[in-house]
Amino acid sequence: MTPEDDRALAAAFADLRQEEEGQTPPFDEMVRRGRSRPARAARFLLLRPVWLAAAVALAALGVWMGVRAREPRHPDVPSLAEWRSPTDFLLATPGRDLLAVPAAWDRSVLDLREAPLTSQPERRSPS
Amino acid sequence: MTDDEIQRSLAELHSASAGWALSCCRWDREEAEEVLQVTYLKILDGRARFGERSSFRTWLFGVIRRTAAEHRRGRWLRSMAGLTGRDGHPSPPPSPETRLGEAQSSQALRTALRELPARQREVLHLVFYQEMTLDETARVLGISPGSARTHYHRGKIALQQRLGREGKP
Repeated sequence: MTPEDDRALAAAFADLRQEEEGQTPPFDEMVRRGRSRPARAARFLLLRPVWLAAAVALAALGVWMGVRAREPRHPDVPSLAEWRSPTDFLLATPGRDLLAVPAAWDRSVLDLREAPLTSQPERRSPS
Repeated sequence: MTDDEIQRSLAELHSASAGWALSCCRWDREEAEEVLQVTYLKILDGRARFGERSSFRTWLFGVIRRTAAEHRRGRWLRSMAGLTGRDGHPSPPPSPETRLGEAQSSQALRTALRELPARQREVLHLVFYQEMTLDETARVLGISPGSARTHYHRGKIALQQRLGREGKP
């Protein structure tokens, strides 16, 4: 934008202002027309039934959503802690008990039949 | 300010206020007159009070701008409620053929301004039409002077492009 562009814009706005000033009703006339217009309160009364209906609908929706939030959503479904998978038995493989306790360095798997392995093996005497 | 002084100031600024109301209402004359009437009554009946924190003109233009925004919202609500036949939008812009014939005229400028984003249109109007400084413009619009400057520069380029001249940044 050059200063000439700015001047051209200013001139165009000046023409616009001059044109609009000629079409503006006088101040007193404007105030008089404003006073003779129907009151805004009267117009609000026209809108009031619409607003009331909207407010009632909104309140009803709020109450319904509140009641719905309090109801348990799925009463027949068990809680997650109680749930057991129907294919759980597939995990009960032979020798599973061997893996139930940690292995001990100084015990054999064969000893398992006599005494179950424990995580704290007995200490051997130095003799 | 006394009531008489306020009334006198309103009368003195009446032409400028009418131009600003027209711009706020995108040159919908009927709507602009209604906005101006409501603004005057607000001030004369004491529902809007001048706090003397800025110039009277800056304050008055702020009131007109807010009233136009309220009016637009009210009109939209009434159109939604089916209480008026009008949909609250200004008349559609003229066709390109019409625009060619109006080149360089006030109507072409009005059409181009109408197409600008609201902030750019407001800043350009206040600076060029009302001959306000960018600081005064920022106070009327409730924005920072830096923001007003940005809208001013972008608005000028956009307006030049819409008027058919090449906008040079």
